[in-house]
Amino acid sequence: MIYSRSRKRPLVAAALAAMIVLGLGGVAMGDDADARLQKLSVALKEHDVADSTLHAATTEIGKAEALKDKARPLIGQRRERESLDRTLDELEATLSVIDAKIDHAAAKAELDAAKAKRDQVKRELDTVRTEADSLEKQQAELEKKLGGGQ
Amino acid sequence: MKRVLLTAAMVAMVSCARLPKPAEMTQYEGERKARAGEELKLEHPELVQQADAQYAKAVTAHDDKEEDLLAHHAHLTSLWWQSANLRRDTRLATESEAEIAKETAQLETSLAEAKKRQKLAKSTLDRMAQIIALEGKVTDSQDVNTARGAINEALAALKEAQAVDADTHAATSFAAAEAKLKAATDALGKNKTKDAQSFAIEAKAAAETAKREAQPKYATTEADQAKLNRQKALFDALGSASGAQRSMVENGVRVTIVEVFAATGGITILPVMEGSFSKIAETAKAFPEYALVIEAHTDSKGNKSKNLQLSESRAKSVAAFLAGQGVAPDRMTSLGKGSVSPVADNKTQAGRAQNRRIELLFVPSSK
Repeated sequence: MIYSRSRKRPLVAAALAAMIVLGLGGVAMGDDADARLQKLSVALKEHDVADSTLHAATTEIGKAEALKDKARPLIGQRRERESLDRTLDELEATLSVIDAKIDHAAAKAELDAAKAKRDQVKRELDTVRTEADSLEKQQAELEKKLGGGQ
Repeated sequence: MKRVLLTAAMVAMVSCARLPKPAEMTQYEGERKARAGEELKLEHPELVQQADAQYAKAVTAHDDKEEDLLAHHAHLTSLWWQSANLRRDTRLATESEAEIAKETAQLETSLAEAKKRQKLAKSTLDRMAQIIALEGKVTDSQDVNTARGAINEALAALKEAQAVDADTHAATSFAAAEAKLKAATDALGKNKTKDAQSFAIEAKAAAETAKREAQPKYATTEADQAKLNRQKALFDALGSASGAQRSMVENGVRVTIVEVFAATGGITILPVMEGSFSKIAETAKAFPEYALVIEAHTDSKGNKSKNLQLSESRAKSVAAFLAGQGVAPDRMTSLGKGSVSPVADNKTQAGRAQNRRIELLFVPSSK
């Protein structure tokens, strides 16, 4: 994260230099980024599967795929560390949006289905009530005709 | 000299000129400051903190006139903010759905009542039509009027009996009452007024018997129907948990979810499955009259006793997650079943995946 703050770059360069001197170079950092990319790639795959029916986040999934492809060759390249971090940060944020979009689309679909069911019951109730009212009216008229107090 | 000064001034102006803020940044500033922005932070603190952190970096990049960084952090600010907003919208949609489900349940109750009114009115009308058909065929007299009065009383008694579903709960007595009423009507049509009166009295008595027989069953059925309606509503509500298979069982609902946990031996619910369990927790809270039995099952790979221990831990993990979502722990019982109750073939990968499952049983609470 510190790489993204430009005003701290001299410090970063110094820290990097120190790490290289001490033999703590890009291997460990590359491993971290690699693990992070792996984790995000698995999450992306899961979201891709989850979105196979609703297609709620197709555009974002495409963007995330592109970010994943962009990040992969940057792994282990010390000079590209900042670019890699930015790409992974964007991938992580995009995955959060994808996750939220899928959940939102599912909730929206359920809400629409619930509304449709309510409207259908409402229509049927209106029809049955109208018919029951009409039948009861006819019944009242016939009761008068028969002279009985039903 | 003048030219040098002018150039220097222009260079100074260019270096002092501020970068324009990206639209994503200004939009975020507006929305974040609003009351809804603060509410969103309370609802999704982690996501809004991410957005705030990216915004702070965007401000720094703006101050430093780092155009690429500014665009990057402004974009990330927007993504985290969008994610938080979408999650809030999801909650609102879920709440609306729950409200609509309640409304639908009330409408269904009204519909059942209206259908009953319709059926009752139709049956009564059919019986009345038989009597009306006699108009003009019989001449008015004291006896005819007496018979008519008796028939009308029988008709009223039948109507009352049908109002408590005697046609279903006391079918024999009700059918007898209907047959006697028809006999009374037929007799009146043939000017046999004494017979008509006699049959009408019998019809009324049979209808009253049918009503008495039906009443206790009718009351029980109403209560059972209310329970059944709740059970159906529970079944419907559990449909909002994605990946959950539901089935109605005696007095309750069973929910089965497969592949809930991360790795072999893992007891932490997969993040992708958390949404489903959150929905189940919401439903459990909306149906407090049900207790939850949480059963965890494993496939047959590995040691049986270890599988049993693992399943116990997994059942407890699910119970803990639900408790974390607000389900009272004393409503839940967690059970590890190990590999002893497979639902599919353990020899295949797909079968084993089916067997690695969590079953949640909603049963009426005894408390």
